[in-house]
Amino acid sequence: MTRLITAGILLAFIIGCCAISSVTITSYANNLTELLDDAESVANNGDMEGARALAQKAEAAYTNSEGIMFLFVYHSLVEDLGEELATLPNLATSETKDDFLSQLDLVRVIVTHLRRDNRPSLRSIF
Amino acid sequence: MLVSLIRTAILYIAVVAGLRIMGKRQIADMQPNELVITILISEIASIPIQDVNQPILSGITAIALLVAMEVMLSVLALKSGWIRSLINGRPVLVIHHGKIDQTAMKSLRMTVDDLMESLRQNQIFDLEQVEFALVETNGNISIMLKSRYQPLTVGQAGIDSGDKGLPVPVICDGKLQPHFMRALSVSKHKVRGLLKSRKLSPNQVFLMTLDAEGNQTLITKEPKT
Repeated sequence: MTRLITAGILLAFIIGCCAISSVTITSYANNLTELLDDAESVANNGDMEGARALAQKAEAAYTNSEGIMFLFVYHSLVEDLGEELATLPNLATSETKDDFLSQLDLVRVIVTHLRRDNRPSLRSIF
Repeated sequence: MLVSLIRTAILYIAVVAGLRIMGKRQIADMQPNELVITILISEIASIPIQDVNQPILSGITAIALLVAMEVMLSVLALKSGWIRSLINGRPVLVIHHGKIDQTAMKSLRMTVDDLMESLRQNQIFDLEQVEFALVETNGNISIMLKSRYQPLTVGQAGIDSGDKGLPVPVICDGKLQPHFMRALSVSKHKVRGLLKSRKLSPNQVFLMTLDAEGNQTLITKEPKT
């Protein structure tokens, strides 16, 4: 009976970890996607200062949640995301607008990977 | 380097805790599923140790899930004979009334050499002596000899040796063993009294055993050189 209770506690721990991981990553990915989308539309409207501010906000969001992300996500993916995000603010100028937009797409792809690897699917399981 | 060491220590604790929760069994006595789970746990633990890129939590949760599933499966097997036979299989008679069951051996993919080897490991060198032989679910072979080859027991000889009960260690390396003393319903006071009659204190004793009838074995510590 004690073993069964222990097994129950272990299952509760696993479910807790999975729930926390899923909620954390999804909310972080949603937040980041929103900021990237906003940065893209602001850049397309020609407001590169606004785009830079949003890129810095996205970078700050990454810095805040980096620690908890390392708990659940393959570390190299989190590091890649951090590196790519760090280049965004410097590209937010009128001369490098195209580079900024393509860098945004690259970051978006990494965020998609992050979201997809965390969610059970045919791809992530098999 | 330090990170690697800390991760290894954490996973070591997780593996030991997992194996403790699953229960004590020697590798030779394990059922096939228990053996597989044990190997899997050690394999899973080794991945986050080698790859510091992998979150350690993924290894720990995988170990926890395997342990939880194994415990639940063993409880189900305990409750249901059908599940037990599904997971562990059933013992198979390979010698029935002194006759080898070739069909059973074929289904077990067991050769005559395997059978003879198992018999020899059980100190039986002549097939003629065997009445029944069963291959157990863990792969061990259990043998019942024909009555004329079975060793004479004390009961058959009509000798009443009396059951003395199990001698238990009440002092090991100078330390009283409350767990064993409780099993024998002996108090610390009584043990100290027994030692006092020999002019000894517990820390002078290397080993002291007692049985239900009060028979004792006492080995004192060797003097330090």
